[in-house]
Amino acid sequence: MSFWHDRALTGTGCVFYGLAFLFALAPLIRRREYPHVIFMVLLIGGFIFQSFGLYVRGLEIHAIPLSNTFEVFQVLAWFAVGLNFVLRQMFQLKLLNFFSSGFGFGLSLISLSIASWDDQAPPLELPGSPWVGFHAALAIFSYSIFAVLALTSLMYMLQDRALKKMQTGGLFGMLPAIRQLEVINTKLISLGVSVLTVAVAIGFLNWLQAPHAVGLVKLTIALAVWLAYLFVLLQRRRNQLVAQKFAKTCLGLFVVALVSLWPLTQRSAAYPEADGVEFLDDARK
Amino acid sequence: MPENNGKALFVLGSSHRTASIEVRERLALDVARAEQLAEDLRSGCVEECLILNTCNRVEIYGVTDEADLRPTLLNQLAAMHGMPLNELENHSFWLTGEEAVRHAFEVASGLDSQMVGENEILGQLKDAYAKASDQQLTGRVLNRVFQKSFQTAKWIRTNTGVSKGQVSIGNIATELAIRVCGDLADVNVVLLGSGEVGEKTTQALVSRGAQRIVVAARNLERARLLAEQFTGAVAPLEKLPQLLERADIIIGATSAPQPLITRDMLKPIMKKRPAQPLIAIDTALPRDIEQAAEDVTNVYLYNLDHLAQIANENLRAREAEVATAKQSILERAKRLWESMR
Repeated sequence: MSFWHDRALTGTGCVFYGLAFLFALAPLIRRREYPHVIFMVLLIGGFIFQSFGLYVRGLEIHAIPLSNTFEVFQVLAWFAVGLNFVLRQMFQLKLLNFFSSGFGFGLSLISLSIASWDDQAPPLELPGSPWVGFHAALAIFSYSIFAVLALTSLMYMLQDRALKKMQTGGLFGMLPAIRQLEVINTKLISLGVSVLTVAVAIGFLNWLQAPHAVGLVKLTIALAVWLAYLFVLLQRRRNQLVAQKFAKTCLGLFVVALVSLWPLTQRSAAYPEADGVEFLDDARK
Repeated sequence: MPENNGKALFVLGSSHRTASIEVRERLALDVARAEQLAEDLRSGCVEECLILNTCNRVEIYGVTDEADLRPTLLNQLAAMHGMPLNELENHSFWLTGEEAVRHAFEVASGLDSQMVGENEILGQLKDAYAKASDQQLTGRVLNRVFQKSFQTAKWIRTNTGVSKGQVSIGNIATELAIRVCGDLADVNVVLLGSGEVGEKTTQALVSRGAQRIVVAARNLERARLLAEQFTGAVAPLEKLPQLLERADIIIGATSAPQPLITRDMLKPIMKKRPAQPLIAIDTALPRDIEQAAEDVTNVYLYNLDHLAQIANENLRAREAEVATAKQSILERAKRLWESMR
């Protein structure tokens, strides 16, 4: 199956996400509720198309597709939208799916728009060792948790601003309560940091086996993002970073983490494409 | 000045339309001072007198045969409040004759209220009238004007949509509390004082699931009676710092002349509970909570002006109804005034 087919499927998913987002946005601007059934049909449709697209792409490499920036962004959007379905049910969060549709659409559109992100070169280290793939999948999953945290932080900031500016109706009336968002944000950062810590630990073990498989820049960026989230979590636990400041930090940090994905998914210039596999194979001997 | 058998009907007032909340705080009269003022006016050159004294307005309705009573009254009020005369002039209004009748009708109908269409003002006006009538401060003119204003208010409420789906301070406060706290079942509500608006706001919170209510007041006997309504507890005002440490919702409803909760008092308390937001609804005037307290992290403070602003935003859909009601009031006021001349 050609790449065109999986791009078409993920592209269709992107269109559905966009339709769902715009379908809900129009009534919200007019301070009205949007028809949830139609919105959910569009959002679930987008998720299904994206899932198929990633499945077809995964068949090509016999693994979760995380070998270039396009795939990383697609998987991140997919994880985040999927996670939002669960959290929406768990916490009865109105509007979370609306924000996730916008997030899924935005991330998917960017990744589809930049053709160079989806080069057709053979995938990097991933098939070399299941642990490398597991590390990458866990890391992206933790990023998707941080993505949801960024969305709930955005909701917090909107609700906080609306309450301070005395805005009512439409979107503002449907946003979750400040107290509920604070609790959810705290749980999400704990979960995200836990998952990322496991991912970093596995990555560290992989790196010990093949230290030159990962460049210094990548290593530094990956560790910096992990340390930054760990620091924010500790500050939150010590009640040093709460409320609006915490929400702003989480949102800002995610933007940084998202930008850092680009260098993280670039191939290391110092190594030929198949080196990672060879090093890992060597390490296993 | 339009005259009625040589006597002129007038109203001198200050309300949310002419004065900011800060000025209204300074102009607020307690019950004793309002009664004293009415007596003084009645024994002076005012033949009939009624003082409407609510949290949002102080209005003196009167009948006099003096040619120009306004400067005398303004001077008297300025001296009473220790306020410069020109400042008082800037924040007050003076209406006579038919305009004064129309104003009384609009006040009774809730059209002049900060929260357009509210019902509470009619009750407050009826109370003020009953009190003035009992003290024989009213006479033929004011009796007619106010009895007609009550009828007009009833007609407006029955025949126009002004009061339909009415938004009250209690409902607005409850919606805000839900947006801050979520489910109200496990929140701690502290009601300061026993003011009527505060009581209604607490009732609205209870009707939406709030269960833990503490009434804090100086007069513990009155507080106990109020707390029984909500199956709540009672505490003296001296325990306010301890109550604030656990409170999720504070409702200010005392008649204290100075704020009970200040920014400096709240800041260290909120530091002890940084992740627990506090919503403070101040229904008192003079205010119970210093405005600067809104700068404290995680504190959401709303005073009467804020609540009215939200309510009126919700009421904008009823502007056509308000226009119909105002037209009707204009015609009725004209008819009454002409019949009285």
